Amino acid sequence: MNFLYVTKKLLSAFLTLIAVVIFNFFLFRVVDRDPLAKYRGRSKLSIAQREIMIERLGLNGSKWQQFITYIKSTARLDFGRSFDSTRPVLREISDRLPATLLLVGISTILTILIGVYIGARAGWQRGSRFDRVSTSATMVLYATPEFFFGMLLLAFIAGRTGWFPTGGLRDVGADTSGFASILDRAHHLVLPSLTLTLGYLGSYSLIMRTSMLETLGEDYLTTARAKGLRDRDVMMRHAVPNALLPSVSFIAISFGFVIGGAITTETVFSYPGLGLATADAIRNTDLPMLQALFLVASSAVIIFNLLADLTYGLLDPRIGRAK
Amino acid sequence: MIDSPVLKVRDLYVTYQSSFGPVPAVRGVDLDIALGETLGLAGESGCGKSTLAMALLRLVPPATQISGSILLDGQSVLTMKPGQLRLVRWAQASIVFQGAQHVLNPVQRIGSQIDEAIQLHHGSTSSTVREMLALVGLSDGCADDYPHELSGGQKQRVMIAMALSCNPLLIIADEPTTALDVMVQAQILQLLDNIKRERGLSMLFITHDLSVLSHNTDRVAVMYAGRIVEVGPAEELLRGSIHPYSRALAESFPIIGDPKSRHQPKGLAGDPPDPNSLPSGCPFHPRCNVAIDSCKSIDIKLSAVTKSIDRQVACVHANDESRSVK
Repeated sequence: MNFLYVTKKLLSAFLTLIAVVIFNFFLFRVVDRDPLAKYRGRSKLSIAQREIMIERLGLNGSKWQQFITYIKSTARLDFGRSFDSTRPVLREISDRLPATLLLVGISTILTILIGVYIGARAGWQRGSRFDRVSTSATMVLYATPEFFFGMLLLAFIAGRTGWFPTGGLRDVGADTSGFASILDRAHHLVLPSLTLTLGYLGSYSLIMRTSMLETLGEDYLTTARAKGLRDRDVMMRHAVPNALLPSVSFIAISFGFVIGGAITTETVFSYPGLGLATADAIRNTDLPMLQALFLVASSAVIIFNLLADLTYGLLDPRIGRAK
Repeated sequence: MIDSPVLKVRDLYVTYQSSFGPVPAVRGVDLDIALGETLGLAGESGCGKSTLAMALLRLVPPATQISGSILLDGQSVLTMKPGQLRLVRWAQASIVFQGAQHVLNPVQRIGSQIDEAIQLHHGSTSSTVREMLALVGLSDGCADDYPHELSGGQKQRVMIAMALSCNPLLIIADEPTTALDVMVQAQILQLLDNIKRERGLSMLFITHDLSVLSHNTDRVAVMYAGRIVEVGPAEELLRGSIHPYSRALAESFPIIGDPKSRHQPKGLAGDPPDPNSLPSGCPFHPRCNVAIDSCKSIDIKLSAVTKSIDRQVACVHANDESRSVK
């Protein structure tokens, strides 16, 4: 990877982010709702209070002035206060981000490891028992929405056996420090991360299987076999490194999407991350929260897109290595 | 010829399995290659020559049926266990594949691809990547390059270096110069020729281009529809082919230095037969300009001709003085 390639990718990510910020401004201006309708529950605001609020939210003045105010405050990461909790939006988000990152991080690592393994093996042994069984199973996983797995796990594992908690981040009144607290957190993470893993496993392994099938006919595999390599080594050293390439971008991009929107999984398990915050903000028409959450979700996609490009450049010598 | 040839193939049949049923690609081929000898194998695309090459190291798809016998340095390739086969591959016989474009792994450095073979079979040879690159006229620096950073000719040199890295007895060169331009083609042929002489290697040189066979082969076999139709010493066969197919193949290339032939290379009408539905009798009879009625029903076997002890031809006219050479 050379400097030019990295700079180009960074620049294009930055420009995309700017476009998203601008788009976000107009998106919330075309929402045909009184922005203050849901402010502080159902209590009515007096005219004077309304004026003050509108000024504070930067909703006075011309659209152009509003736009300038919006850009300025966004640049300072000042997203205003949540209508619902009245705390600063930035605080709300930064409090919830670690929970989501942990959940999504664990399930993504699991999904990549298991999905790539299943897909690579199924593609390599095309038509074998392993391929037939795993491909039917991953098709079912692929076709099922993840919240459905969540509901099943909730009903049959958490509900029936009580082995795992039905939701939340930690037990109420549990120790918040030390090893016991880590165990408690892990205990609460099992079912949500299993749900996300099952939800995304299907697509990851099907993508990997397809790209494996595409490499099967490649001449360099015949070369490797002719050299006297074992079948396993032909697969691991020659087929997988090439088959991984198309999967990398897909995996990274879908990871970006999950960060912004493990909405259904977090809702099913009342897991207080960004997904649940989004669901709540939509229900309460908490516009400042929503605006910031949209930005976080888009940034996640942009960042992981960038990471995909950079990883791609590392894995494939033909990319970004200008002579 | 020496008593125990490096490669001895008897009655080899290779039948692919396709969704339309079995496809016979090689149908009863006998071959001998002596130590230090080069056999040229010529024929149109689809005649089974590459299948034959792949079958020699059992590199055909798993469902493919192979019967007959292949003795490589006295060892039976078709009956050996997979572990034994892996030891024989590359160490006894290696392949220079056609068009080095995709036969090298695009995401692995050249050096480690060559080294992989050396590491796998080391003991039989102690050559290094650097020595191998030097042997084919490439600089050390190429070891750190990826395949896409090299030219077609350089890639073919890498392929040759790789093929030689484990000191094999036999090199199977499968259209090694097909994708290259004429100048590079000449350089690669020269390189192969030099290395072969220096190391006393045997070679099976597969091509569709008879003109490249005249300089660097001892004997030539011509293949048609999965079968060898004519075999003999290179000079003799290329100057005067007996089988009407070999003749047509020879006439389809202009002869350098003969202005008349340059303007009139003769084509051969029709296409090679579909292995799924071979014509009855001699498979060449529908395209043959000297076919007689019996050709439609009788398939003549490859047999010695009376006028030369080293030549074998599969044609009803093989010993027919008046029409054999025109």
